[in-house]
Amino acid sequence: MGLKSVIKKATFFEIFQGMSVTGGYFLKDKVTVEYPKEKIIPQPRFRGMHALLTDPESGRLNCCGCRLCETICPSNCITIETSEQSNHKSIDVFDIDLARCIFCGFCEEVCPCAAIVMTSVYELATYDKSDFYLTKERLVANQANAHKELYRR
Amino acid sequence: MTDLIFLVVKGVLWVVVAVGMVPFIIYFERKFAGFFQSRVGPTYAGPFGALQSFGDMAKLLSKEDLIPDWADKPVFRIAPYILFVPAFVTMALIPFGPMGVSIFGHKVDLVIANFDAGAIMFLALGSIAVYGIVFAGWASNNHWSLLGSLRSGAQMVSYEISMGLALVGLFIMAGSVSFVGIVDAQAGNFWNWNFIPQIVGFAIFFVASIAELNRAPFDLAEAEQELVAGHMTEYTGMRWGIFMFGEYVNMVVVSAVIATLFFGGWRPPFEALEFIPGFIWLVGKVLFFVFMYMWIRWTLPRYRYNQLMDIGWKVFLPLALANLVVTALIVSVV
Amino acid sequence: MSGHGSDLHDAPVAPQHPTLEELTERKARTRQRVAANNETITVSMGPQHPSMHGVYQAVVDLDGEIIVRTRPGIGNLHRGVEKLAENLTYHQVIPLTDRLDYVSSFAMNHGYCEAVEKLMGVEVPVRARYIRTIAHELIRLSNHILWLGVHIMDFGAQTFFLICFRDREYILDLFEMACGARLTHSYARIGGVSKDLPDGWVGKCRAVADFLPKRLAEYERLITVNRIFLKRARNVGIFTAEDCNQWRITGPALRAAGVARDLRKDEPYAAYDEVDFEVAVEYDADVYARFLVRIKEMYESCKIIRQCLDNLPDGPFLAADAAHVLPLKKNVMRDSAAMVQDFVHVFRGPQVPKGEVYRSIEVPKGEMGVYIVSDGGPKPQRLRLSTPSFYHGQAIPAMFEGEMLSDSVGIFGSVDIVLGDCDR
Repeated sequence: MGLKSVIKKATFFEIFQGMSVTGGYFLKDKVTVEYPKEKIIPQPRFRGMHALLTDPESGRLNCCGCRLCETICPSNCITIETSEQSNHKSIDVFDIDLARCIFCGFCEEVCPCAAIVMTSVYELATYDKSDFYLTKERLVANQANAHKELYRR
Repeated sequence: MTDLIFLVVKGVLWVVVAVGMVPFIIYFERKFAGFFQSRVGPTYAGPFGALQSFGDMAKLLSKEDLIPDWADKPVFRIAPYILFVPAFVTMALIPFGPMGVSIFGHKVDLVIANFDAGAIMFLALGSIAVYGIVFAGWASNNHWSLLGSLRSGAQMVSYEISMGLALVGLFIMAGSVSFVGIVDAQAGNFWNWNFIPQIVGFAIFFVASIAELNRAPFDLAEAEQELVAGHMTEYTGMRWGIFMFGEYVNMVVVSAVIATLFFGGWRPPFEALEFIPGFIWLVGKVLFFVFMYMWIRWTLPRYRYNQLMDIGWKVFLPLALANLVVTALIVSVV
Repeated sequence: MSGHGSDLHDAPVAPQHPTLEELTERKARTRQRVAANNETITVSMGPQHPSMHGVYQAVVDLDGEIIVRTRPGIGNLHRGVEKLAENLTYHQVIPLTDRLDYVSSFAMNHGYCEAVEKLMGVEVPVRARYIRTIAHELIRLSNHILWLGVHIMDFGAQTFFLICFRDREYILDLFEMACGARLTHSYARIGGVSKDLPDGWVGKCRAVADFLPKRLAEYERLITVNRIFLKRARNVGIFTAEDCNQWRITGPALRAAGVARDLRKDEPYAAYDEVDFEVAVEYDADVYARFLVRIKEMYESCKIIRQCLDNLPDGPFLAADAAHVLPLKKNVMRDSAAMVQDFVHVFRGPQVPKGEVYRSIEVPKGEMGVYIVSDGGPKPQRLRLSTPSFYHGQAIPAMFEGEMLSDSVGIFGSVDIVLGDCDR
């Protein structure tokens, strides 16, 4: 135990060193993002609430009713019902149960038509549980939040 | 008659200042906790969140006041008050300006009670505060509360001894045991203050006071991870609020005592600045020490209980005694 | 301990490393505190407790302050991952593995994918191996930083917890950029990773890898030589190499006992044989040694990340193996063969040979082993996950014996158990 370490021990040297670190944090910028007033914008690939994309010209859903998303979903949260029309399949029911969804992004990954995508919407808390059941209309309406540049063919 | 009026005015003023400071000190504790952790603290209640404590008080008042069925009710009720009333009594002893100041033509001593053995009184009152904690643990009729309170009480008693002994060197140097006398002995600029010659005494007193106040790194009795909340476990609502309040009042008062004994009390650091009233200097020093207590709390981990007691008895007590002996030798020789 | 840019290691270190006999003797002295025929009171610590990491219940018999016996209670977070996996295809199991050790979820994905790739004989392309290595080291950093914050908070320094979370944000942001999620990544796929690194990611990752060692040096100034921490962590919770061997303890706890076993060096996978790093070893086998091992591992992780970023090759990020691997999305939209591959993998699953495989990798908490029995179908017949926290949780009674109750929290924290990992 050299003299240097005795002096360091007696003068609480490393305690002051530690206090200088927290003192530094005291004076530097704070990292808090004050949530309702300031919001962090998630990255483009963020896996948030789903959206169904429609073709900008014709207004028809991109979805071709292949049911790949319904099948790959590990939680079985997508319900699809289709019916045959004259020249295409019409999507009658496309529901996602957000309460079951684990936000893994597989549905988006396997979709061959760039129909179902995940947006950056993460503020999903609600007082009404029925808000968790996303119907086709809500999914289509959510496409305004989609990062469409990620899904160009 | 005028003396009585001035006495009442001084008393009321001091109480208002101390009681009024505490909500803001609690607010500062939380705010500074945030700043030390790179985050903003409370910002919502009032401008910069300054009214946070008042919101907390309103919340606590609205809570149910539960007294456990098998608890010792009178003791349970009185315990929080025993913790913080001694602090108010100590406040009466601390001078906040020079003696014999003339206000509106009357000579006023700027101290509520110029007691000859002021510092000894302070130590005695600190010992009474221990009763509050022990009563709380006992009256709660809860095994863990009792253990926590006994530990806390034992810790406070052990460190009080070192605190007292650390002061004896100071008394020898200043030749007086009253607060007024010690402040008078520090006349001059800041290099005349007692913390320079009595640096060891100051260090011991400061660290022992952290243990006395049950603050980190000596707060094992209240550590969440260990015993939920120790002696305060069974206290709900505003009764718990009184405990918290008492702890912070104790912190303010002990800071005032340190400022008075070692840092010149109401005296300014440079004689040229005497035009600023002594009261302001005293409050400034109190706030400085409160900040140091907070800084230490938010930086250091806590000691285990047996290590804490070891340090109190095996390190601080011998050091305080050595300080006493060396001071006595030097004073008698020089 | 040199080369970290900090010369603060004035912490008293024995000139020679303690031998196994010395450590065993120190541990025996602790165990001797448990006298025979003593009266004990039973306290249940948990399953919900301010300090226990997750819902782990430790029913301790106390003689005063000394822990005489502990009966652990696990299973509060059991979700049946292994059984669920029997009903999901090999691709669909990946999000399940996310939720094992949710603090280091990419590591779990990676371990599972390595095992499946060994079963199917898929060769992962070079770029994907490098990306996996970088992501794995990032998640190791994230895990250790979180562990550090929680561990020091158990000792009372709450500031540390918050500044560790602040620094973890940089890593979570990197993951969010790459795969879209901060916690449950599902980034690894059979044959590679799910998405290529976006533009600007390499620059940001390099900035993080350069900045974190400075932060680590700050942490060291704050805590490593702090006398209070030293008093609480030295010679507490000694668990010798022999004990570790008997209780199947791996990872940092084993390396703190002097055994230089690190699967990244001993059985390299991903790109670990192409990078240069040291295995962190300490010899005191106490809480402090485990702390030092993890700090050193964090420095080494930063080193590995920098090397991988410097040498990051171009190329595919997913193997082009139609029978075993999902197709690239951009091909699915253009090429009918890829679309067929997509349909086959979703509606049926990959083609898997019959057989069984065991593969283990070094996840941040220790050694994770994945054992898969396949009957030739697209869903695993049996998936067994041999996760480190399970064995560490099992060893907790042995570690607690004779220790004081106040130390138990520190010891529990030093072993780094996450209940998702333990209970599956």
